[in-house]
Amino acid sequence: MAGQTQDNVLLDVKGLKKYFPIQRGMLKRVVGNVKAVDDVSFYVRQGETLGLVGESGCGKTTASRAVIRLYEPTAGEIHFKTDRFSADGKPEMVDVLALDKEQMKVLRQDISMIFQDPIGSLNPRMSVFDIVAEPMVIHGRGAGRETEEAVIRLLERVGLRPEHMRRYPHEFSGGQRQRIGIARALALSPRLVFCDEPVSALDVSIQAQTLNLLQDLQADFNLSYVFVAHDLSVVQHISDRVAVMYVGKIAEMAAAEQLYTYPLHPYTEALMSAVPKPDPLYKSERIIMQGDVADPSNPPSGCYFHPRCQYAKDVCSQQAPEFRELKPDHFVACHRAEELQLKGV
Amino acid sequence: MPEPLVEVKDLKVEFDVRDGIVHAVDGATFTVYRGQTVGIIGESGCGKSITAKAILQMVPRPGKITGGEIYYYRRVRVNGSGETIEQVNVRELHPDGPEIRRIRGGEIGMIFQEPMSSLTPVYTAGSHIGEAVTLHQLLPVRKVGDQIAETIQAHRSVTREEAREIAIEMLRRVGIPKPEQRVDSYPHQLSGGQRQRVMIAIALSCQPVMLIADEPTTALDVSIEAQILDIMRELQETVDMAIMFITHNLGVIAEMAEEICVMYMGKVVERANAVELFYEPRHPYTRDLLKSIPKVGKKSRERLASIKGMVPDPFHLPSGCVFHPRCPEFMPGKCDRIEPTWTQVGEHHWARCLLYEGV
Repeated sequence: MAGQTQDNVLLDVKGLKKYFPIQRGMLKRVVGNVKAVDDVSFYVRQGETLGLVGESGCGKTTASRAVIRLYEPTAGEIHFKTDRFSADGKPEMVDVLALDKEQMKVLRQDISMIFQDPIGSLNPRMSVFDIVAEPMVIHGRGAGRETEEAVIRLLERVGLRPEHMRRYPHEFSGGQRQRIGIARALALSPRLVFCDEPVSALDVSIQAQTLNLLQDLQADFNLSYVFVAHDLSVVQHISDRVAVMYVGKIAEMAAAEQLYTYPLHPYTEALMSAVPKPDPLYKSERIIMQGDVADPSNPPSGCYFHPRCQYAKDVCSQQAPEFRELKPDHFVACHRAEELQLKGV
Repeated sequence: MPEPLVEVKDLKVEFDVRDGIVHAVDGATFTVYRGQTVGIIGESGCGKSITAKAILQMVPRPGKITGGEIYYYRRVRVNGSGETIEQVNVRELHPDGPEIRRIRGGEIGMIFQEPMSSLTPVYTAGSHIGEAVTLHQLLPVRKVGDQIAETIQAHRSVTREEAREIAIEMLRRVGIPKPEQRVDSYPHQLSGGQRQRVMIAIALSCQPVMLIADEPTTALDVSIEAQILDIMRELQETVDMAIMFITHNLGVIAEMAEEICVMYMGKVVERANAVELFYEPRHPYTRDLLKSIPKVGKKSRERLASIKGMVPDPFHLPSGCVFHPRCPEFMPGKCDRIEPTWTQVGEHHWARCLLYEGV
């Protein structure tokens, strides 16, 4: 992408597509595709947090899973900076999609995940020690005493006590379980962590503790996060840059404050106006988006947002807008981005 | 002078389970006035949903109302000379009796979190669909129109055809496009937002004087949430209905409620009008809760104030004030020994905290 500040980029995703085929009949004939992720480009710099927001079904989770090839991407390019494959130990950009299975396993030490459901993502039959140590065992790191010390260090770092090691997930509260998940994600000292709705199942007071912990860990270990969430205030709080997704595409991507103060895409504007503000005196000038989110297996013509957009013109229903860099480091996919004066918060 | 509609006094609900007794609601006191929106806010397990269920005698087993009073004030027409108020003691009503059935779903409507998610797939069309089911769940196997019509018929003397007409009209009012066709849809053919609209249509179809809405938008996307909140406000203006709005979302409560009760571990710890509660919170828990949420439009990446520790084990509640182990204003020797009482701290502002009791 022209003009993009490419220094320090850790993950670079270009034109990523993930289609799920719709099959019918005995012969499993493919009759269509759910375009869950459709031509998405973004990058993450070392040590920063990229927030990925959007409503349910917009493809934010699929996009993040396709990047680590939990789902094999349909098309696109993914580059990741790592020193795991270089002879001289210097980090270099690796073509992730060109890696074979063994190499992928090596790469996965650099990339980990934290999941939404702190109950479902921990095996109830494994002790906390086994859960946190499992990545180390799989990747043959350390043994015996060494592993135990590492696990204790990790648990203490995320605010749990060493004796918790011998207990099982059901003995913990939701917030503590999420800490166990975080400890596991950090077990191999990754560079990049995909956080998929890590706080949306937690209560308000626990949510604040968890967000603070994630920020502390980021500073300590120079971690990069891709933070997937539907809660705009949480995403703004934790992110350096934010990408807003709508039906498989990125509508807008910019630095968090830029995006929230000077949005360029009508969807961003409407989404932000829809968030209820915790202030009873706030006069809401809410833009009500009509209808439901478009169906990714049968999206509208032109710009996918046009049926719900209050600024839509003829061109919007005819041509898909290009995702372009309108201001430095501020990308948008809207035909009318130049002329519209949108309201931020 | 506002007219009280539902009065809850020192309500206690206990669950007798294997590991002991859980005091799910332990002294909840508040009043809902006619046409007013009362918000109840609190974290999971604080007893807010159980309080709502107690009002309708719907506490699930093994829960039991063990103390306090619940009064419902019904307007009754008197021959010629207007109306009089009848006091109904809800606690004394049999949970399956005709009197509570008249209130439940008729005079007091209710909507709960995303209705489809609480569905049991084993219900068949012929099984007991009566009120308890239609009132707070959508059955997957039956058309939404029939389900609305059924509720209407349970509470109003209308014919089948009339009930169907009202159902279509209700669907139109909650913003469902092409209601004449949608009335024959099954729940799975609707989106989550539309299903919640149907639930609102069912709840409002009997023209209730109060609506209990328990986390009605929690499972929905923000754009759909905005639509639902708008509809609820609009309907409230046109039909003069009280709303008891239960949520954990401080943004939603700020937008919807005039009066707010904050609950913690089964107790209402603070109550005030919305503006005062958000701008001059008095209980340390409320203060901490308000500080701990990230706000859109605020500078990003600042550290959030968080409440230390976690919600206590319901079987081993702390002594004195239940919030004392997490409280930044903890006064040793007092808060861990004396249980705070419900104290008036402003003209229309109450809190349960020793800071205001001069001890």
